Amino acid sequence: MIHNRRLATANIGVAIAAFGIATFMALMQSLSRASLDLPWRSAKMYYLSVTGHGVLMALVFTTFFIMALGVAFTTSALNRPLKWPRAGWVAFWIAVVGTVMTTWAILWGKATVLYTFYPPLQAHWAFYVGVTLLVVGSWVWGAVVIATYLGWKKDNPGKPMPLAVYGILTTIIVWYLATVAVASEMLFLLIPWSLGLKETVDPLLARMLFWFFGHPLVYFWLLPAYVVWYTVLPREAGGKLFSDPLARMVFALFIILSTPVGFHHQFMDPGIAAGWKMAHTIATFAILFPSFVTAFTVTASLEVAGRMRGATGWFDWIWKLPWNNPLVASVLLSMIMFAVGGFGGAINAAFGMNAVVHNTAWIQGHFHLTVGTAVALTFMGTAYWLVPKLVGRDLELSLLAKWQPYLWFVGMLLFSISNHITGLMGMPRRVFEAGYGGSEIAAQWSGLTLVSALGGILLFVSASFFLLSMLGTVLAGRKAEQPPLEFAEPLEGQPTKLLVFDRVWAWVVVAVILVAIAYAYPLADHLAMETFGSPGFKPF
Amino acid sequence: MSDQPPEVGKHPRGTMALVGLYGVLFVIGWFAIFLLIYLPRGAVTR
Ligand code: HEM
Ligand SMILES: [Cu+2]
Repeated sequence: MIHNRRLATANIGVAIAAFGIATFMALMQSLSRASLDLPWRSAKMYYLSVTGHGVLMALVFTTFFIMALGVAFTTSALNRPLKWPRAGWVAFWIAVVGTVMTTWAILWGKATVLYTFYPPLQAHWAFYVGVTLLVVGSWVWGAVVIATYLGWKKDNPGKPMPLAVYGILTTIIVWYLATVAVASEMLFLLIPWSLGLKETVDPLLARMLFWFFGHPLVYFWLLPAYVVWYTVLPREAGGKLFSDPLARMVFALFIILSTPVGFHHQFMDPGIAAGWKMAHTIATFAILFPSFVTAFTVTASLEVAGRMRGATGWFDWIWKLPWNNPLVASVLLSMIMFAVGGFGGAINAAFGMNAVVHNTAWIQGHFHLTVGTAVALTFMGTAYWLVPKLVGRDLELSLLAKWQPYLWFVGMLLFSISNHITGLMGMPRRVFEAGYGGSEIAAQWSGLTLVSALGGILLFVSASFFLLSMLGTVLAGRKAEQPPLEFAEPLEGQPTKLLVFDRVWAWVVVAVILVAIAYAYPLADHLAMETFGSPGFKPF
Repeated sequence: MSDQPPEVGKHPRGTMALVGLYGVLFVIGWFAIFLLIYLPRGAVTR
């Protein structure tokens, strides 16, 4: 049974609200990039909007949703309430205060620095302090979940923890490792600099710290989605989890491989030796492996589901799956999109080829498949299933919920594929005027930016369906007893013995060692160099 | 487990075929971009 429901509901509520606001911005951006003249269109508005959209989607929506999942999954899988419920609320409120500060700074035009907040672009201090508070809130949340798990472990010595808890715990570990870097970036570089205590900032050091954080950030988003794929999807599809140990292996590999890869975002940056960039490239290709295993295990679980529904051929199990269940459809479509995104990722991560796609619209096409769909659509599907359980009401407007994932899929196909292609043609990302005032080269991609805008409109309609269904459920859903939150049964039964993967702290030690190998020398090298700081710039 | 259809306990052949197919497309796609776009544009040589 789910405990601390109100806390989970509050977190998911903020997540969905942030998603809603960011969706309006998204619509405006995709129309603006097609050079469609909207009445309020200006460069200042565009970059303000992209900053708001990126922050609200990638940092706020995800973090609050994950905090909600953490509470709901941990308490129901362990069948006990949070050990420190008050601290859970403190975490929530710290994160809310941080979000309000950051959003205020962005909307008032004082923080047009995009969601990567690279210096020397400079924001109002409230932006940096707000993001820091959001992170601090999530730290407290992580501690509450860990304390709850440790309480359970004390009462159940020698028993393997449920897979859902294992997945949430690895998410928290990856997050703690990652956020050390962004916290240092904030505390030592950006906050003093934005307050005027320091004149200049070291942009390259800031970028190194940002991407130390930035890549594991994507696994912070992705791992909870994987938890849903492994522990919820098989059951909802009418089957069983194909293998519990394989899933644990995947999560353990993410603990050790999520962080020592950040330079794959900095191939074009000066000041980092090529050998180190290569080392991070190799680790990046290694980290493809657990995602391949995930594709295999989750698909095999779906095959089990289809066969339990009577399929006997090679592929007929696919059609036996409940494609009209909003959660199942969302996850299946997320997986298809993620398969394409994974392929694109292997291009981005290739040291040489990165030059072809770096900072082009391809990147924007890529991450809207990964975080923008594999994660976000999975979360939307999860919300259709979880929110009714949290508020004790039936899902309202379920017809919209059935169509929404398909609409998202089609919209995202148009949006993402067109952006991949224009990126290869040389169209940059993060440009306000993609027509370049009538340039001939830019004219070649103008048709495709229209396709992307059409995709944006479909995505907007899809997101509205989601928001309407959620709002309807909370406000007007029929009050009724909901089925309990239950997780998929592994095919071979629940594990009874501890495996090497369950020695979580040993994996953490390995992770710390790998991070030290990947970063200690390049950081020391950088700090020993003579660097020239930059003053802040505020273009708008 | 007796309540399961006999097909369930076997190797997930459909999955293996799909994952294999994906692997092949993945490699072909990667090399397509490498050979048809990246190299003709002139690789970074240092
Ligand atoms: C409602 C559907 C969506 C549409 C139409 C959309 C559209 C866009 C557009 C046009 C941009 C600006 C690209 C640029 O100028 O480079 C953008 C940026 C971005 N989007 Fe979305 N997006 C959507 C959903 C999402 C979701 C669900 C997420 C993640 C959860 C997301 C994350 C981001 C991020 C991180 C950026 C980058 C901001 C930056 O470059 O600083 N988007 N999106
Ligand atoms: Cu990365």
